Amino acid sequence: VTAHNVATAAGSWTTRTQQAVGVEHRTGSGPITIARRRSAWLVLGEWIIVVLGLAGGMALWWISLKQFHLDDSGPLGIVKAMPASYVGAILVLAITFGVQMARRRPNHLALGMIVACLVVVLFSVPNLVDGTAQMPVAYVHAGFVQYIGEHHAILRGYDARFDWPAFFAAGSVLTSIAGLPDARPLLEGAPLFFELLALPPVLLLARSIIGRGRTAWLAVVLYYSGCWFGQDYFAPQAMGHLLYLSSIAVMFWTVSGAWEGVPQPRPYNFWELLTRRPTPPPGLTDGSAFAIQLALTTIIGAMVVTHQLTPVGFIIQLGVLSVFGVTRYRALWLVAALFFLAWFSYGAKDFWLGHLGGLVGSVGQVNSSVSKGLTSRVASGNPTYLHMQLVRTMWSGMFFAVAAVGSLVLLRRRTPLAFAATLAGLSPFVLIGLQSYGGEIFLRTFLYAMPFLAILSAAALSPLLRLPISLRGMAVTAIVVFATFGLVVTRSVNVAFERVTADSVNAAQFVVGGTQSTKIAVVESFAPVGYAGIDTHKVGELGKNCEPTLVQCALRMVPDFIFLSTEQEQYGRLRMQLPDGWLMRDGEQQLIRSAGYRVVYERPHAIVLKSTRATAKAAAKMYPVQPKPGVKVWKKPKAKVWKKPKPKVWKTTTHAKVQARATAKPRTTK
Amino acid sequence: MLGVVALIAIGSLAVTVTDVHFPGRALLAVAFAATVPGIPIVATFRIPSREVQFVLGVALSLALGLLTSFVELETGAWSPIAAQVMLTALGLTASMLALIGRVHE
Repeated sequence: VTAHNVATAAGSWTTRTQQAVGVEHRTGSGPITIARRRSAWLVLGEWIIVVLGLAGGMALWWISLKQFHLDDSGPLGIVKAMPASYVGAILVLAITFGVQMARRRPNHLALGMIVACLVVVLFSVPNLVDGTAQMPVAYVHAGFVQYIGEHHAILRGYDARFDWPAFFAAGSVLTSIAGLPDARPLLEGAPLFFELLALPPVLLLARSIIGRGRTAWLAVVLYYSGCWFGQDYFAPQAMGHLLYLSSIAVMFWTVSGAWEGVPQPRPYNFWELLTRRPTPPPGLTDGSAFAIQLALTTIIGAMVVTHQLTPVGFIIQLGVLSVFGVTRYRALWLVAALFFLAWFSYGAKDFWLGHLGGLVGSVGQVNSSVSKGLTSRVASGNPTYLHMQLVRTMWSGMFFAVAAVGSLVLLRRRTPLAFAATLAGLSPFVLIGLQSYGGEIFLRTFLYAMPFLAILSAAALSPLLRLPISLRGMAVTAIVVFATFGLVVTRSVNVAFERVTADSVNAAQFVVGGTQSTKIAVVESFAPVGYAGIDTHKVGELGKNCEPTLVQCALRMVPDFIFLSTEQEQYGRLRMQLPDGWLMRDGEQQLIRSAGYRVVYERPHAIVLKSTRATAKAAAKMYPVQPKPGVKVWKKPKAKVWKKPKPKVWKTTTHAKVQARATAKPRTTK
Repeated sequence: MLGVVALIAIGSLAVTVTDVHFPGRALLAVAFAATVPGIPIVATFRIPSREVQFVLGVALSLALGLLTSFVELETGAWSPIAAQVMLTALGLTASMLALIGRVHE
């Protein structure tokens, strides 16, 4: 078997090489040998170019990690913080990609390596620069993981996310297997893990829809360029998204047999759509197809207990694909829906009992979703920052518009799965009418639609790939440069407050490291506290809109610790236009002078304040205990004061009064 | 590929049992989570595409890891090492079956 495989591989390699350089078979051994030698040298030369490009790009990236000044990031994201070496790394990789795409026959291994390197370069900032993990909420998830590891159970009633505990439980098992004290080391590499593992499914999906040519690789690059959403941190939705991507890619592959020339029903004949059975790819037996169905069912089961929204988006897509007959597994949506309902009604009971009104009431409230997801995000804040939010929205809108063109191009070419891809790209938008999801529904909708939007966009740009070789390479390089820098800009808009500095992590460790129960307050919820002791420490915000009245809020809540950081200060500056130093300088001083707090930890990016006796006195003075209406308050009775009795004064009785008493009627009793 | 996955499975289990600490231990654990037992199981499906085998195998590995941990948590039978032993056994058995299937072909 091995010898046969080697022979086949060698044969196919030779054929590919010859085809790549346009060698014709001739009679006689001499010219063929010369042509083979030439082709071998050409292949070697092409690989040297690839290796040099990759080595150069990655070397520049490695250097850039030391040169980033993330403290300079602000309303323009990391644009001002970005060193020239980082720009150079992206340019070198984009050019290497363009050169490979310009070849007559693309070298898929080389393209895969280039795209993987590009992913590392694009998604490693700011985590590898700071040596921590972006998104403070990831540290909260690490806290959930640690609780499960310590107590072997979830903390009921603490957080709705615990109702979908599979990710946290698996994180706890992984932490144990990896021999780590807690899950924090896993957080740093999470974006690279999720993004790199997304490459094969996106490529498979693209190849199933638009074929195995170079357009599929362009689709992969466009997919990453559109993913500015930052949903790849250590979180259940990142895992859910990876499972979703893999499942939908395999499902599309199982109906990609049309590429072998089998005629497909016309997409505009509804009856044919309802009754047709898609053609499987060559070599897929019924037994294999059934095994795939079992595997997909298992994956959906895991998805249902991992994240609350991903299965809903997937069920909608499966349902639409079933109705239009572009799936072999027409009952899978029903299985997924049953799994979802079963877990939602049993396992997530605590959640829906508390939020039923909100869940049901928001169905059909599209205006509310638009308001929370789009309008409110650009309502107030630093003007440049607001413009950047608009740029983000337009970036996604651009993908949507180009994808619409791509859909028309594919439908006109009668590409068999064009209709299915368009449906799958549109169906997640149904979610906007179902839930606002805390204002994040637009992000999630675009996240689920992005693979299809990218593939259709690549189809729209595919005429560029038919240009002459030199122009083709330049066109691809220009597209990749534009797309990747677009990603760098849009993805990093919030980096000033979503990054987590090493000082903040150390300060959090200082605060939650102890075993004694403490009350910890942050001004904005952008701090990595909560990675440990979630049942011991009570972490919360000082209060709503406390920025101008820090002292009053602190004295009302009287937390043991107040956690201040540059991330929180940047949030106030960008989202509320507060002045420079409003928290780390002025806020700190106010809390020390007027609220009696003292500094117990101080680094350039993080300060921890601790309450003192003066804090309690100031709080008692500012907020004396007020009785609640309707509640009887026990009052200390007043002490009786001895008073000197008044001396009795003898009064003389007049004769008339004595006479009147004598003549009065005697009292009778009834 | 199956050989590499088998090595990852056995190596990771051995490291967990002996509790040896070395710099790459976390990476080995992540590799275990992403490949065992999904890739060997999918290898028994005889899918005529390596790409699909890889994509489905990784997703199935992650899914089975999630489900195993979830079941342990919900049933109160929490034991990370038992989960790893179970997944390793499943992966090695599937690898054997896949190899036997290939030899018969």
